[in-house]
Amino acid sequence: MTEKQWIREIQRGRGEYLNCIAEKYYDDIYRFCCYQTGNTEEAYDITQETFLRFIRNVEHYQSRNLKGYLLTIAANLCRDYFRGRKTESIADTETLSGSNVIAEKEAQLTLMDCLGSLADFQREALLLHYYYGFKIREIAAMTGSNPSTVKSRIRQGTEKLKRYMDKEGLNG
Amino acid sequence: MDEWTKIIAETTINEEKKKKGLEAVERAVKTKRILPVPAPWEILWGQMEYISPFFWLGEAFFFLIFWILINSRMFEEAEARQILSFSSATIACVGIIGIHELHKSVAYKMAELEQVCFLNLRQVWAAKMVLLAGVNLILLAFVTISLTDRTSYLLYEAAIYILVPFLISNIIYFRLLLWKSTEQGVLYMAAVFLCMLFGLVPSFYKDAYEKSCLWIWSVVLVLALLAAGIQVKKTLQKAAGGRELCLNYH
Repeated sequence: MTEKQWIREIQRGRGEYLNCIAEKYYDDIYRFCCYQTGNTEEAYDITQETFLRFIRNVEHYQSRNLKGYLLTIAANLCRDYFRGRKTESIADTETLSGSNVIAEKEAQLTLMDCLGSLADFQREALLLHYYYGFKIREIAAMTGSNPSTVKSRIRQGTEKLKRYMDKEGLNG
Repeated sequence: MDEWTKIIAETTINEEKKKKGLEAVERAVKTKRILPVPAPWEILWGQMEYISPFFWLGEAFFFLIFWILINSRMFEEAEARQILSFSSATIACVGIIGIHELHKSVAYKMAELEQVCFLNLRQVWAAKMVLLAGVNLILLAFVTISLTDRTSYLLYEAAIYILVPFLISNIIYFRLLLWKSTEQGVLYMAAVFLCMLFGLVPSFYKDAYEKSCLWIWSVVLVLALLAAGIQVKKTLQKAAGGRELCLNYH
């Protein structure tokens, strides 16, 4: 069955297809939350909460882009997470090392560190654009901003990230 | 940028934690009660059940009237102008059948009854309007094509001459639909009579159905389409706010 058919069945009352959606998009949502928050433990919780929130409001789902919709929920939850952690730095070394961290490869740690140096909204825009392949206007709709703002966030974030990654030897 | 997107794609996920997360989702799904949301075609199909035999009989009646007249000797001998004016007067009455049908959805108790079928009032009205308009369009198409066969008018000309009285009469009937009055029946009858007369008015002018006046008909048609669109939109907005719910004036 296609995703559209799943949604159609869910709207007809067959909720079991919600599990199919969770299984399909779990990894994508986790990766977004992981690199957006820089906290792998919180990323699992936020990923779970993303799907729970989707389930609670599934009757109101009308978007044509399910992945984008789920990532929007995840992005909102990540922003809530940041609001609750204003005094702590995003790339907290305690969360980046030790038994909490799943990402064993150094490149992943370094990337997390580089992304952590960006502002939240720049990081969010870069992940959505370069990793998930969303267009500028789609990201603007997802984040509630206008396309020119998204463009400038991506441009500034890209420049900053390139500088950090060159410094850490991650480029090329 | 490819380098870091590749790093993200290769990020491993703890399967144990993922499994726990998916189990939590499964528990939430089991307790979730989803109210079915019908697809647009299901709404239309469902509303067909509520359309009364009176509507179908009324439409069939007009089909029959036109079919008999168009094939009668009277039409064979009549001038194109007379045929058109008669058709206009008759088509101006067709809208009352649909409006009568819509009127049931504003009557006391009927709106509440229809709402229980997982629909809100706005959906009920929108679905009914689409259905009724569809049937009327079939009738209009039949009349227009018959007119082009019997007269020298082109298809688009006949369509404009027929659509104008149809739209204007429907705008008037629609306005009366939402007018709360105890004399609504009398008002409808008066409206039908006036619309019929209006349909006959062009026949008093020799050049009314000539090409030189076609631009006037076109302008009137565009204005009528705009007015009808605004009226429908306002009605549906009122229905969304619940302002047309339970019109307990009977």
